[in-house]
Amino acid sequence: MTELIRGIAISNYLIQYILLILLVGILITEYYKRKKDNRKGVLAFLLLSMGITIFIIFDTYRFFIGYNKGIFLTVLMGMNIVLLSFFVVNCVSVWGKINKKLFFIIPVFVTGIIIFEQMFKWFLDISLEILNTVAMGGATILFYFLVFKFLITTSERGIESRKMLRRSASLKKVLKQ
Amino acid sequence: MINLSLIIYLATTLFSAIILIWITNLAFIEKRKIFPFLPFFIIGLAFCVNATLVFFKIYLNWVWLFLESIVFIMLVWILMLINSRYAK
Repeated sequence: MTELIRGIAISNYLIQYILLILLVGILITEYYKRKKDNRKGVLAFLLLSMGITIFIIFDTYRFFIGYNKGIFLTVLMGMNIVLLSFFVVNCVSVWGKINKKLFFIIPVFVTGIIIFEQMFKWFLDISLEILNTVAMGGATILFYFLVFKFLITTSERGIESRKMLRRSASLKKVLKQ
Repeated sequence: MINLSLIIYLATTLFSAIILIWITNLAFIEKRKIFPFLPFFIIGLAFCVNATLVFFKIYLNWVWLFLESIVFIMLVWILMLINSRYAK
């Protein structure tokens, strides 16, 4: 592993840790700030981001130690499947409040990068394992913005302002009549 | 060799990057907008990458130059935003 690739991988993991830890902090504060009837989805995203942080700790070990076999890999893949299915279930349960574009970009982006990496491996015999890490970093940033969009659309101030807009629109209609 | 100036540089860079990202996060929710605060967020991420590259002494290469160019483009973006906001 050249020094440059090592540096890129470390910075990628550092960014993921920073973003996820900040996201966990924001979600905890948002969970306690909101009214009880407006908390749907926040706790699930909180658990999901904690799970992703734990997954990334394991993945960092896998990348730098190069331990890619046995029960470790099985646990990692199992964790990945559980997290992804939990993510999809949670997004479906709050479907009306999330950004659909961001939701659909995540699988397309990750699958595209993995296909790109495999193409290099098959046709040019170049191993670009760093692309896996880059794909995960990108997915983390997209997930981060998805959660923020969700928090913005479900924030109490936003709901109040939307209600006000509706009221003013209905008032305009009444005045026109 | 890790010397004192490197430690101070890394500590200030990482600390300021984390604070910048944190304040940007709060602004996302407070102002209910993401796009106007995006350049600050990208500068924070670029500072983190820069700190790692400097720690491993692998700066002055194409990745580092790309990163610096991103930071300057983001600064221009911020200036354009300010100009558009306060232009008469």
